[in-house]
Amino acid sequence: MKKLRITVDGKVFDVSVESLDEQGNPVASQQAAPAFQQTSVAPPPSSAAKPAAAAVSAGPGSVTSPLAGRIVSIDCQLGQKVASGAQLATVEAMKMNTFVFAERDGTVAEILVSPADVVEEGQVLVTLS
Amino acid sequence: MAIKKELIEELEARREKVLAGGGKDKLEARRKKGLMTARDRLDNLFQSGTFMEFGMHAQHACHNFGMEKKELPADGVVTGTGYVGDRPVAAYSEDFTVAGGSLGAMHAHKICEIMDYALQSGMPVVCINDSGGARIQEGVESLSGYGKVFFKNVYLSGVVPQIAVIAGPCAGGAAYSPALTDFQVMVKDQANMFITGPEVIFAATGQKCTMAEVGSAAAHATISGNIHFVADNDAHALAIVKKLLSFIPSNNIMDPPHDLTQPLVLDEDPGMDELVPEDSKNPINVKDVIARLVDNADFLEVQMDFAKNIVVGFGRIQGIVVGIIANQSAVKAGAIDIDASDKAARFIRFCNIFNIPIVTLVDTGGFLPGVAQERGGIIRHGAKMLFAYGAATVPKITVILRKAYGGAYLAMCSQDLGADLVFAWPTAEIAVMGAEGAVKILYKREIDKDPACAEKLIADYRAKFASPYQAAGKGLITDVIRPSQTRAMVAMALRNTLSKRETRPPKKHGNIPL
Repeated sequence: MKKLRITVDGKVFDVSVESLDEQGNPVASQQAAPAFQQTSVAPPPSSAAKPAAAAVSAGPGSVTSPLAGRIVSIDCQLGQKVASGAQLATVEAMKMNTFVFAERDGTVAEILVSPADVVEEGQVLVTLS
Repeated sequence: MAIKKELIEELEARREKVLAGGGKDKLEARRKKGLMTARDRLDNLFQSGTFMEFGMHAQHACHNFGMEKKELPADGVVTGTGYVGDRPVAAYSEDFTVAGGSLGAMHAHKICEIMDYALQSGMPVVCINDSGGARIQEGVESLSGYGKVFFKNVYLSGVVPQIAVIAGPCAGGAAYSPALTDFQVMVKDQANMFITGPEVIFAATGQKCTMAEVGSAAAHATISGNIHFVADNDAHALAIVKKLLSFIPSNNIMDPPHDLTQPLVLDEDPGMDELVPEDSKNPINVKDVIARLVDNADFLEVQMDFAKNIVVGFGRIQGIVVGIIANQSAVKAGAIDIDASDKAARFIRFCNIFNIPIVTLVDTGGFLPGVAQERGGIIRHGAKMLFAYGAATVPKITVILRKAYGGAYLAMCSQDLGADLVFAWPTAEIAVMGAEGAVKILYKREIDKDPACAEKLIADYRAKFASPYQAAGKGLITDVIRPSQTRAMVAMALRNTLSKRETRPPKKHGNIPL
């Protein structure tokens, strides 16, 4: 919101100006997208042996825990179709919930853990087909 | 009366030959492939017409293997100064069309000369690497050339900023020159960097691997942490360099390019209140907090794909350039691990060298537990972060958003580690350890007798200690503020602290636990 002071015939008015979108909702003031863009990359696949915990069956479609912790909830159901970015499970560690997301589209083929289970880093939680 | 025409003609003929590098056909072939030539890169970096070339007519010094009959224009490296914005910047750009950009004695000499000039004049150096490596025909002189360049990198370090662009191959020992600079930008797909590549690795160890795995921009940006930025192409790499230069001063005795012309605005930002989840266990994407904190949401993130559990980068807060270090609770619960410590420590030290105030946003449950972390030396690596913060004399402003537990609280620029001002949100949890752990120790006997009482004890402990007020009561924080006040308070804190002076006992340098 921008504040303006307008003087009309010697009278001073303080007004607030807000940008609205077509539906009449305020547009956040700090939205100006910078022209400059940064590039994000994904790690290349490694041909070296994976650590033991991850080696269990971390094949394609495996959704693994990013850190050691305790399962709070499974946020998907068997057979459910999920899109990339969908939340599949919640792991609690370090006094914080960590959400585990699908990295690609797929159908939930297996759910390998239950709430309150203790999981290791890299352990497969869910598989997508 | 006028200068003899032939002299001008000779000069122009010589210039034309050098400007053609390895030949006009080779330059065109590169452009067709979508690659810039060595000189295209400098033309893109500098304001039009401001490039002043050093050593255009340099000759190589090799008298063996038929090299004495060859001419190598500019000896395969274009060096000089030019303007980026309104500031002079020194640069060198290796020319792959001239003997594969190989480094010989004169090539190295030219690089060292431009670096000496940059040092004396106090201007940043941009090092554009695109070279097949040592010029084998020049033997040990070529090796010595690398040594001299490395020594200059070290000599300049901490006096003027050095930014390396890896725009082509950068193999073997050559990789140590960019490694010694402050920031490395690597161009995706066209560049690779390694000490030993897949062939040597296989010959020496029998391990099979791909170039993507050991030498690509993606590998260095995500796994090894060797580089700071990935560029899509040459033009993008130079855009990153220019963006980076817009936040940093030309040398260590200048201030960064603050914009102090605007009046201080103390408006609240209700959007910041809305970012805070009701459940303290749910993560905040700290990049959303940063976007609201910095001017125009303009934040240059450094090492965005490495150790994502900590976010570092540059922005301006009401005109003042800052380096931001923030725990990312949305990744690995914001826990601090080995890579996060290294990433933060290096960034903090850069800010301190170049007078860039540090703003720290704290939201971490602690150092990451685990066998791999302990055996990997989290003590030594975490200590780098403590050391870097403790040694930094620039303004240090800390905002404790939520979790600030134990050693990680201290490590994230607590007042005890020299923060000038510490603000805490009402959601801050500043405590020696989490409620569950603390109660197990404090009330071991009671819980052994009656395990059912644990839950209430934990709730009581949390209510009493998982707040900012214990720490505030002990004078460990400056004030508790609403999230919506953060931008205004940090902006004011920065202005007030900008003229800070801190002197410490003279010494060569501290002994950071590397």
